Amino acid sequence: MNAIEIINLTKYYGKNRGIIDVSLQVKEKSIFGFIGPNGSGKSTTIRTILNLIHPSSGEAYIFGKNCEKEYNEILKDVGYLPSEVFYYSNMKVIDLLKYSASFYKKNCDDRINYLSKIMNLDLTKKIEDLSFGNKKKVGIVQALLHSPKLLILDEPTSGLDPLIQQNFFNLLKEENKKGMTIFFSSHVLSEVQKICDEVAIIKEGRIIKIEKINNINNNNYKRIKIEVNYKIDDTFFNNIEVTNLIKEKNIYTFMYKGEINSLITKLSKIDIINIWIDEPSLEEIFMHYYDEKM
Amino acid sequence: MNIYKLEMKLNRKSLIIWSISIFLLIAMGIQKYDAMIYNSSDNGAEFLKVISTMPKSLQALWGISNIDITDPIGYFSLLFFYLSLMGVIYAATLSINIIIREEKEKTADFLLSKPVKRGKILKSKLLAAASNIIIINAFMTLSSIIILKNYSKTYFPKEVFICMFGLLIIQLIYMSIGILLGILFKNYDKASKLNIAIILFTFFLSIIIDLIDKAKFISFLTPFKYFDAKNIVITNSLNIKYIILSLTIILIMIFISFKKYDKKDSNN
Repeated sequence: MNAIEIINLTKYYGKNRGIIDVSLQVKEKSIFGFIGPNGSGKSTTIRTILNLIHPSSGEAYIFGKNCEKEYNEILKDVGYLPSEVFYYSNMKVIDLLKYSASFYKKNCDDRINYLSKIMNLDLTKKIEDLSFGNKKKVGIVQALLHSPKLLILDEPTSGLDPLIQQNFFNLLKEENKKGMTIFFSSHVLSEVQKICDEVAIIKEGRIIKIEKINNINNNNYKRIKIEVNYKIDDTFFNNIEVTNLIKEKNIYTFMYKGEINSLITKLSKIDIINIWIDEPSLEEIFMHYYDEKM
Repeated sequence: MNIYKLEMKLNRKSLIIWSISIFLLIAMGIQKYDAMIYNSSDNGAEFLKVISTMPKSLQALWGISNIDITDPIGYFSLLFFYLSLMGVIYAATLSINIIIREEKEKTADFLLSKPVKRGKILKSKLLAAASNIIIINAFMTLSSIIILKNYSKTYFPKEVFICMFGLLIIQLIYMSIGILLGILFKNYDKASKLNIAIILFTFFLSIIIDLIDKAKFISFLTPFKYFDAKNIVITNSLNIKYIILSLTIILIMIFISFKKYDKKDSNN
């Protein structure tokens, strides 16, 4: 069974585009990345499957249950961290967390203490006195305190300092090992690359690519830089499948997707002073997708 | 139950402030009454003369047309005029805020992502609103009875109870309107303004009806006219026709509220 199954989900705000025809599946116990720039429809997708807003058409299922009809059953097993965290401002952190726990009909006290220790969160402070990052921590503890089967994170790391971010990622990995499915939305690609098994890329409300992280990381793209001491004939690159070719003085940089051997054979025909072959960051691949589609 | 408890807690401060204001209104009013009528040397004759020289519209605006203010019961119906206005403003603003506060403070996403049915959330909020209104109404009733007791040769708790029960029904009408407006509008500023506009419109309409006898037939348009203290004091009962009308309005508003709330997009 899939943890999340979204089928042709479309949401318009009046006449404004929210998302169009979004379909994707998130396997149980996986960590799924959801990538796209601001305003691309990440939050809209998440908020629709949580029944916070209602779809214009299409449907979504979480653990096989219909998101619109059985939302209160679904939400028992879901933890949600919104992209911007807002709480009843004159409450103390501990009161807010206890209020949150009161919806789940189980004792979450130990969990609250455990999580707030990891996140380095002061439970006695008033929420209105917290910084943006600390509010985010409250949001994280709030999303995890009932040990949900599915955790939905909307831009979780913004505002967290690197040390806490590391703790947070370790926590996610640990929870994932215990069986938690994680749906992780972000525009920071490197963090998704670090932790996710699969990513979907969304742009202007449409999914443009869904791919296993391994596929992206291992097979396809290489960033190649070669240094020569003469001008390479333009036609030389026509025979190789290169993209994003940039020439700076005598250094040529490009992205290559395909068989490495054939590339090496071709490169061996020209006189090279120096060569660098790198894994491109997901960011570069991502930008590359965007270029292609535009 | 947890949502209800939180709502009661979040509204406690405003309940206390309103209670103090209402107590002050009653206390200050009765002090004036005491000085000018009850304990004055001429038993209020001078005061009545001043009132009788006022134009009728001004009398109506102050809620003193057609009542014998020197009579404690008459005085109470004047007090009731002001209590109604305060009680209604309290009920209407409290109710709309109980809904739009989640959007104003952007806590709607938090609440709606919890495993609880929307209908149950609204039910809790309605109960909290009604509880606060009942508390404030009971407080008004008690304050009125206690204070009037000291100034009246005749003790009349029954009339006060009936009037206040009528006011409670009126308050619940405005509560149901406030709740519905809060749900219906995406823009909570607009909803709040409309809510106040409805109170003012119906209030002034009730004054116009007081002034123009011919306008009586439109009394059904303003809840302020449903249970008029002047009539209640005479008949010692509430008009059954208006009780039915009130309950119908409340039920319809609440029914639509539940329907709409279920399909509402969270506005964070």
